[in-house]
Amino acid sequence: MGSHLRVRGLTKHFPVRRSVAQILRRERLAVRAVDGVSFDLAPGDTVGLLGESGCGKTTTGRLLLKLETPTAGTVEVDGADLSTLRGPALREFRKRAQLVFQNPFDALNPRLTVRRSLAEPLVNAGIAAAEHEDRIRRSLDRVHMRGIGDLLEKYPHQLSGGQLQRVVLARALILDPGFIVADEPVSMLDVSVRAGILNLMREIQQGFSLTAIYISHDLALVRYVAQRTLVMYLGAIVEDGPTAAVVTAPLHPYTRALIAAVPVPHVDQPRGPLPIRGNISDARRAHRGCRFAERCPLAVARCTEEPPELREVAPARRVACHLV
Amino acid sequence: MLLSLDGIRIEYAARGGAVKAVDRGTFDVPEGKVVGLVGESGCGKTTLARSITGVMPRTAAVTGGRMMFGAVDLVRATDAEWRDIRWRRIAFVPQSAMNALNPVHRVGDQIAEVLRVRGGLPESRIGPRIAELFDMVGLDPGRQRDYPHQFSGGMRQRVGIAVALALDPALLIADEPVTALDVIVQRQVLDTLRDLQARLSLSVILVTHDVSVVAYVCDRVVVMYAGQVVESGPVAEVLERPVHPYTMGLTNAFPDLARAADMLVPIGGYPPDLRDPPRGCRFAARCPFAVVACRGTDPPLVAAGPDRVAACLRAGEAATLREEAKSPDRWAAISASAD
Repeated sequence: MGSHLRVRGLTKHFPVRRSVAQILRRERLAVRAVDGVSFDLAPGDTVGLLGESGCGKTTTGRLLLKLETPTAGTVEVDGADLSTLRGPALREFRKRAQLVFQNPFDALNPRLTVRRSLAEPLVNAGIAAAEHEDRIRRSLDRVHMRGIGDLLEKYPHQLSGGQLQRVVLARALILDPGFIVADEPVSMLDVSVRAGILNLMREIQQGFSLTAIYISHDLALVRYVAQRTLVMYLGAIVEDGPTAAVVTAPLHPYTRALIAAVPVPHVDQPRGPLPIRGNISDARRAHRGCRFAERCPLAVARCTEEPPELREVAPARRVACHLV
Repeated sequence: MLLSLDGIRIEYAARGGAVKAVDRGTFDVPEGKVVGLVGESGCGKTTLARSITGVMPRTAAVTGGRMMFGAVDLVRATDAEWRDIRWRRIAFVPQSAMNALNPVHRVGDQIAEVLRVRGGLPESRIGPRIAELFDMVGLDPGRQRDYPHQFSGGMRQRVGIAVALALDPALLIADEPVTALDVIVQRQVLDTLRDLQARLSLSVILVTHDVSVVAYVCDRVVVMYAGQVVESGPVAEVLERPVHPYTMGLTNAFPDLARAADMLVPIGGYPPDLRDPPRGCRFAARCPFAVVACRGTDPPLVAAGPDRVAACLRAGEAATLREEAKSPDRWAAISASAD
């Protein structure tokens, strides 16, 4: 059964080194990696967390797994506030919530066989040794790796990238989690292999009604695995909606620019200039108005003065823009 | 033809036997055209591209074939000939310009060095030329005195392009120039590259794993698999009507925002070990259309329509196979778990 998530005002600021003058002036400098993010996920939801590097998507993922401590805000998973979890409750959460690493080539200990890598989480979770063999077999079944003869006795360097990523997935699933965060799970894989892993993730998610968050910079990929997409820009969610709607009818000017920039594998594609200006701005800066205003081709005076709230503009669609 | 590669073979010395990284490097670069060299990791595209610059790791050697650049065969070019060609006629843009730039020198000084030492430009013309280059690639000429770390990823790639263009080369070789960049920046850098290519009538070899980048900027495409060129021709033809089953598989497996979000079709299996490649077609083990003959003979590159070639025994049936290749079931026969 998938987990339920409730995220409110989630904020993570990373302190940065200050000069003596800045310290004397009592300037508080911080990278505003995540700056007030709120959303809910129902059990079985699959969500793409989309954005460019530095937008805070990876930090958000780590906060949801309690791998970082938020500066402000709360994350509740199945009703439990992560900041209050201790002892047995925390251990239970660590079983329920799993991270799928970006790079399968260093997600597994190179000195452990596949069998030992898969058994490790079982040992840590205190599962009886008698059950291990059966659990390992079942998890390999799920990722379609069972037929491979002596797979369990192999070391990571003896496996291909696709096989490794399947083992990494099997390991993440072995404790029957309710919730997984996959950070760019296929970005290191070749195109021909990537497709198989994406199809597999889709199948697993549907088969086990997992709640899943896919972190990616690539909308073309997110679209294959996530029913819903959250678009982040400079630490904030700027758009939220069903993936199909976000792709075909984006509402936020940033999402529109992002979609216009994605190249497609056809020669007859639009080649007009992008509806965006300049570069991503400094994440240390606080924004009085909309954080996208300075790059927005549609910005009006109000945009630089008043921050737009993320509000519902249609059923299941939220956008943070004064002009929508 | 500006550059013509024919049967280039490149080997790496390695423990456990030589790795035949490139076994059939065969393609042409017409004057003023952008040629995409596309393939997955380990297919030999980068090795082949680097061999055209004459700069290769110590363990690698070209062991066969010809590489005609005008009247010069680059495989047999003398040091003196290379001095004349490298940077002045053929220039290279690396995947990460950060690695190519010296972190302790100002960016402007590094371009000046290229102009002075390699180009022999008089001191009076160096300043204006740098300003011109910065302007060409869309960088603020006022930032010449900045250090590499002060530039963003996209700007660094622009610096890399500026350095490559410093001596007005005829051929630019760019190795995954936008791979590490965010999608918006990627698009902006590609637009600059296209714009420069047209304005300067440059010839470009763009090495990439990304079919959509090829579709966006290239005139022609060369598809490599396991060290061999398996298909080449005009981009529109090759991407929309592929002849080689690997090209069909690659385009099917590629995520596409313009098409409905159907299941992607993966290619099962994995490429062969290039220390000991199979006797027949190297793609046969992963190919849903392989017949017995495919495992016995290595098909040569043959004409597959106007201005295009492909290396497949069943090239004559390409139209039928292309339709069949759209079905995930056809590819599923190759065990999915074998990837």
